[in-house]
Amino acid sequence: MIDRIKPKKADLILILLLLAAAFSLLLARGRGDALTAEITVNGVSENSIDLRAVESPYDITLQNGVRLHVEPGGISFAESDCRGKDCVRCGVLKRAGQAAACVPNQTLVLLTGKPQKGAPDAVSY
Amino acid sequence: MFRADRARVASAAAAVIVCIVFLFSACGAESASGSSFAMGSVLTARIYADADAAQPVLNDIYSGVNALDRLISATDEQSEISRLNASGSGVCSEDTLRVLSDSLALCRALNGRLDITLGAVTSLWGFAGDAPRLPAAEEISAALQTKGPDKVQIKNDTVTLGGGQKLDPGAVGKGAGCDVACGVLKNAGLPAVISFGGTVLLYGQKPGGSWSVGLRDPFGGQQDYFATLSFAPETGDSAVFISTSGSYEKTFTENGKTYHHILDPDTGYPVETDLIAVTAVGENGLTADALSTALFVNGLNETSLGWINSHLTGAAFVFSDGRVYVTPGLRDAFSLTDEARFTLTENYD
Amino acid sequence: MKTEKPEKTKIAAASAAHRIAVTGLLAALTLALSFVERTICAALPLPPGVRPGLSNVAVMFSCIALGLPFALGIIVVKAGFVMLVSGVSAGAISVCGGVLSVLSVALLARLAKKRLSYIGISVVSAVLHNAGQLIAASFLVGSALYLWMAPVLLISGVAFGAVTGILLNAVLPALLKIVPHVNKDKL
Repeated sequence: MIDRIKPKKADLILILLLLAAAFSLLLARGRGDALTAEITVNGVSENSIDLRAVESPYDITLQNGVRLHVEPGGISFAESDCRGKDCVRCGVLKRAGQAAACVPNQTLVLLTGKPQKGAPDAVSY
Repeated sequence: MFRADRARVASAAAAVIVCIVFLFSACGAESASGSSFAMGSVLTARIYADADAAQPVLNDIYSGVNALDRLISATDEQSEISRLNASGSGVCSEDTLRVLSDSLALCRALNGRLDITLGAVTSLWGFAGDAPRLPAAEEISAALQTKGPDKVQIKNDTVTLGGGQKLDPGAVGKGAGCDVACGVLKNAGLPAVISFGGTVLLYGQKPGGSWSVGLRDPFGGQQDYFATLSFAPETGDSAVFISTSGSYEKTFTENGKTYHHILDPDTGYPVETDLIAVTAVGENGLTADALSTALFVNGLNETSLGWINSHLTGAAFVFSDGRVYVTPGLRDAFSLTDEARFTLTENYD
Repeated sequence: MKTEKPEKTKIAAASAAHRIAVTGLLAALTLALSFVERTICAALPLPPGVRPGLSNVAVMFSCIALGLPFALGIIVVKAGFVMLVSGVSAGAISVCGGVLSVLSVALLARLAKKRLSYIGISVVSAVLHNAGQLIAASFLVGSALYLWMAPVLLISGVAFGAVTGILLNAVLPALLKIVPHVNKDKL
């Protein structure tokens, strides 16, 4: 009979390695903070996307013709039929608390979640 | 028995490990955030309180700012300002009068480098709408004739435009909106950060830390920043307003030339400058907003520094070659995060 | 540790029918444990997807004592049970977790004969069980949302894997009393 009752040194090493892997995963996903993009049109919630769960980029086209580009940890206005295109120029939203909007189309994208450590509370522009 | 004890120890250890994982995600002060459209841009608020306490405050802020917008909007034809522009005189509400008298006083104090009576010129350019255009030179020179903060008279609750002035409080609107939000927060006694179309209000003390505000990277996207300002107010009812004016906002290109929205009140054309952005920090929203525009128009010189001394906590000037001048009052709070493309300078003309 | 040589003759006597009967017994134990666990966990404030995996005690024992095919049989029975209770997708998730978990036990029992104790084997088995479930869930839901849970499931796998390993240590004598005719050399 092989003695598998008594814990071995390898058990401990294995457990420590797995825990180390878990914690590095935790660090890699940004201190475990959620980041959700809330999309509203005319004040009505249209969609809500967990940006941390996005693995590869994709586009969403809303009913009003606005096209949003979703990527891992970020979202941006890709296309809008408005003339000013301020929404497209806003660039990629990446941090909780950021917002971008296409005012003519009444489309708002707001990132919710706990702010990341070290990120500013707001950006003045 | 011995083995059962070991199992118990192991499950206790497992419980501890699981608890640690949850502690990881549960730290940080409670806050609630929300966002709304107002004055043709977005107002974002994060209030440090639980959701039940924060929601009515958020609603009050939205309704307060929207009420102000309905009074002073230059594009809404039903606003008091629009009716004033159409008829030349009229009775105005207290809120409109306060914004007008404060900003007219600033226009005079700033030697006309900020001018809210330029409405005739700004409507030619149409930067407030979504189809800006390049007006003809004759149109601009004709429209320029109507300007003049001194020709606007306020007596009791009646405003009279003496010489066909068209009012456009666009340069101070977001700041005035932040002042309204500040009043709501003062009543509620809750710390908060408000961002209204790029003008930021930090109210009270941030729980467990200091406030940090990024200054937009003029060469990057709207939410990229090249430097931060940090503030740790000493009292719970202090308010810090940060306003930035930059030539990267609201632009259009015609015949290969790019036109931005900050007009020189003397010429009626977008101001020609080697500045790309100016950030003004002060204790009043309207003043900070007005000053960021006036400083961008006037440039970095002794006159501007004098205005900063009398109206602001400090200011930061960003030049198109990446040089950044920060006034002494703001240097402790300022830190450059992008040192590759931006350099601090002590020189000014 | 080949002190119990006479046992070897008994293995030969243990017929296929006997093994299948024992498998049925262990499958019943697996179902009972997983049912009890579901009932208890419903009352505990555990995050979604985190469960102790008590039934893994019986599955691990069957894998080591009877062999991989029998353990896979138990996994299929268990998945069928889950499918009846919670639906097809839950059953598919259960199969993926179970198969990956059992394969790792068989592999470790063969490769790391004397290096790892039941605790180590159980930890790896639990972690891979969670990993298999996570991968299946990610495919089924069509979103990588579940990968977001990976660190939590990794840590819970380590913690609960250790617990079930210690439990196996504790109940091994009792299990051997119920199922005496197994190849003890492999244990």
